[in-house]
Amino acid sequence: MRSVNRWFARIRNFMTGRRGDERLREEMEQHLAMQTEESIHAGMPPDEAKRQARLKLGGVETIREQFHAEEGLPFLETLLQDLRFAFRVLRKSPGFAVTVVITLALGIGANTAIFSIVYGVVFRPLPYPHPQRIIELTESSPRGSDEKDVTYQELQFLQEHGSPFQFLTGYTVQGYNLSVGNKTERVKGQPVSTDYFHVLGTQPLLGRDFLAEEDTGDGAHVAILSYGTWQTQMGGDRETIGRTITLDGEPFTVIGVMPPGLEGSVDPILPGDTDVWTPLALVGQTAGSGQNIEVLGRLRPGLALAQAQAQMRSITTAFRKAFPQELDPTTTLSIQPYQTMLSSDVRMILLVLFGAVGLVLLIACANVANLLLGRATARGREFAVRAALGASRTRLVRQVLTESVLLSIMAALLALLLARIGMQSLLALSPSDLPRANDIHLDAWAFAFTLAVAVITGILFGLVPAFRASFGEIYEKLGEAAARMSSGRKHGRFRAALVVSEVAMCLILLTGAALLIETFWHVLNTDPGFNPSHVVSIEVYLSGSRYNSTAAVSRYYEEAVQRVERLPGIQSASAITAGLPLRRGANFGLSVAGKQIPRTFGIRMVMSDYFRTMGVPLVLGRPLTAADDEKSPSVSVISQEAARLLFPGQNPIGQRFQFAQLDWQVVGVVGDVKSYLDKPTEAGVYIQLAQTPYPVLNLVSIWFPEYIVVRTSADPLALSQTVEQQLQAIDPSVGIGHVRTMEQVRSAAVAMRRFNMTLLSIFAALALVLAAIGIYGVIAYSVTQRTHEIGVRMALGAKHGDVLWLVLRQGMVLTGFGVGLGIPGALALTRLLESYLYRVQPTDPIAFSSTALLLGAVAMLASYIPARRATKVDPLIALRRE
Amino acid sequence: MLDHIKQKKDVPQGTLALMVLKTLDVLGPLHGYAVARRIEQISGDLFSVNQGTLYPVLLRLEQEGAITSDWATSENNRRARFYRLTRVGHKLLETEKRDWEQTSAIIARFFEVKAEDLA
Repeated sequence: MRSVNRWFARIRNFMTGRRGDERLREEMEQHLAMQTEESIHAGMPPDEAKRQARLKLGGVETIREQFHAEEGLPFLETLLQDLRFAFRVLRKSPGFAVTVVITLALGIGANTAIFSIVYGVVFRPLPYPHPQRIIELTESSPRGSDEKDVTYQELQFLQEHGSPFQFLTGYTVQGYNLSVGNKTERVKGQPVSTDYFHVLGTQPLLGRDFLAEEDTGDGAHVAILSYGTWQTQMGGDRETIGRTITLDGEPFTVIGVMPPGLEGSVDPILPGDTDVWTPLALVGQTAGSGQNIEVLGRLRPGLALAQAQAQMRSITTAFRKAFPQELDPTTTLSIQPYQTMLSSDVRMILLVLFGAVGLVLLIACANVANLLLGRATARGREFAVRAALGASRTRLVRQVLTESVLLSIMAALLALLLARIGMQSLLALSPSDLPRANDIHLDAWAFAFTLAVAVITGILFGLVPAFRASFGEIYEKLGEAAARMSSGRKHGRFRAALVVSEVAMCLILLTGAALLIETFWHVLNTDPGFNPSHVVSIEVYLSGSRYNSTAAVSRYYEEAVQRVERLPGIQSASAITAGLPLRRGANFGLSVAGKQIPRTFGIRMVMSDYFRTMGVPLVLGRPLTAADDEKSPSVSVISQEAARLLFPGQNPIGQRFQFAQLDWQVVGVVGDVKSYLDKPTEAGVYIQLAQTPYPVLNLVSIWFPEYIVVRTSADPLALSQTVEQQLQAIDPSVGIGHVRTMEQVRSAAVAMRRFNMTLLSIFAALALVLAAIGIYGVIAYSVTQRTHEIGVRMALGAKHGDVLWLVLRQGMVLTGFGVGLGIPGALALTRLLESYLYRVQPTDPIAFSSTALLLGAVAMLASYIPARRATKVDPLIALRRE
Repeated sequence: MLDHIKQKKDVPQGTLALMVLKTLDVLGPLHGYAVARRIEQISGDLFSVNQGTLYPVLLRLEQEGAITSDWATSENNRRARFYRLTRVGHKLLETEKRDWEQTSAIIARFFEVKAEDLA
């Protein structure tokens, strides 16, 4: 209570600015007077009495200080005083302040932006209760760890044996044609087993969750809508519950609506939100969906992840016994936090980028420390005078630190603004498959991060000059001229060390960027196997009872192709399903002479003219034609890679293989087409859509859109609208999705790489500029310091070239040391990038030598400017200065 | 002369506060000088230097609410600030006194102990 009173009084005094100075002065005056009076009374001479009274009272200043410290909040008061002083000082040198603030703001702003992305994608807890307890089933083998897809039967087995889990659920993804009234739209569906929402820990906003009996047998026709779908499709009507919607032509009863913000639960395979959830039992027995179920669980309360992972060992044993074919001996079932799995693909590169941007900030700090050191030297006299007047060392350090933290906080404010702008452009640049992109915000965490970084950097770059300022000998500085040489050299060495480390860090960043740029160049220059220019692809979704046979599907495409080809400006048109080039596609196994080939093949169903439209070269034999219809023998065209794998050393034409219980004869060989630019070539197999068994067509239509592809003679996007109109005219119930040129498809395929490369290059460029400024600063400073020496040299006959070389050499030596230190650092750190490189080694000599050369050239330029100034020194003036 | 002064010890702040409280308790409201005189008399030479340190202590006690102060006229017609113990101050004095007695009793016992007593 007493201390509360005391602090309250102190805070009140501090806030009201009340000062008891007058009261204390009067009290002490009276004290002295009474003491003097008493001594005189006792017979002391008046002068002596006065002197004695003063001695007894003690040091008035000390007392006043103690009194004042007790009265208010001296710490805050000093801080305010320091701040006021710092503001005054900075206002006097606005050029310096602006340089520092902008340098730091760039460094801090870049960090804030990347922090927000890393936090949003990797670290922000998922928006569910106890999100750390949500786990995903994985399989780990010596090759690594990946999410584990199971069959419906395996899921049921795990649910019966899943002792570590409070709830265990499975889900798969499936596209649906959703019809409300006479409007059809393609939506993203997620068939889930009963406990799905229990695992996440969410409940429907309206209506109810799935019941256990709805997820047994063939499954009930019930659906839960997402908030977004409810709003857009049903107009947010509360009467939606109980109404019937049509999914792929079948009636479903809406039983619930989920709250907004459930988008984070979506698997990164399918970017964007889930629109509708259905019972998993509906697809449990089907080929495809029923065989690719991902498993999510919620750990029992109190069970640690490591314990649960340990229990997975016995579950693996039981699982292996029940499904002997499923796991090879080196693979085990395991679990990983769902959050970790969501960002597993990008975690490493994001952390690398975060580290890179941290280096940029360190370089910025080194630069600012350099500037401050220069200032500290210039202000040496000021500090010396203050020290001589009684300012303690801590007081001086505090003052200098206040200045630097003030600078960094001003920089932080600007940095937040820069980060805001930067983030918008980063997100615009970010690939659409960046997981959890919706979770990226500039929020309180980002603010806290920025502030913390600002204060830490302020102390970091302020500390060195602060100590320099306080430890410098007072007398030395007061007699500055005599001391200039020795203290200048000490300073110079430290500043040189700062620049050397800047160069080293810059080299690391440049090398990393160079490696990614080389990689990107290699990826971009990889032949995709087709000619993407002037080709447009249109996503089409056929579904429902109207398209329940191969004949019906191929009739639609025949008509579509005929109508489109009649349009002006169209060279040719065709269709493909099971995967467009440069996009994920379906893989199947097949056999030759009854023997299963131990590889998967990218089988695509196409219409005739596909190869001509896409620009895939025919190597051997003939392409598929309209004559290859359901009545004629099944024929196939295979890629060169498939020919090599299936019929090594033989003429593939006329050979046979078995797929989908049919015997296919090879009639032609085409060039290899890539699904991934940076992965080994896949073996491609093309069959006529009209000859494909319907179950296969139906299976691939669950995951993959069908595409109409059109080669045009003019701008392909300009024609896409008329093409769409033609498609609508054939059947308005067919869903039409994205329209993309193949150039856009290729661009999207390298989007993640472009994003990483661009970011690292920006950081490296920033680092290069900062390092150049650093070198320039140090060399320019040393030229001013050495004016006298240069004057003497010139007076003794040094030529312009000699002086130029004298200064340039200094810059080169600094850079040389930096590069020498940076190369081992880069060798150690670029290894982190190894898995992101393509056709480039992390020790690539081109990347290393080109960055070293670039740095050398920039350093040369940065020291050339002060070097030229050095040659302009007039020896007479320089000598007279002393 | 300077050496002589240096040998005299300053009274620790906590002890000084307790002395102030006791003085005000015994003698009623007093001004600063009178408090200082009184402490000097009782403690002998201990408080004959740096008497000014009394004023920050008085301020602290006042901010804690143990004493209050006001301007009044002294016995020889001077304007002086008089300090008076409050109820909080009374209570504080009681507890401090008890603590002090306990501490000094314990310390005293420790000093009485001889080596053979511990054997």
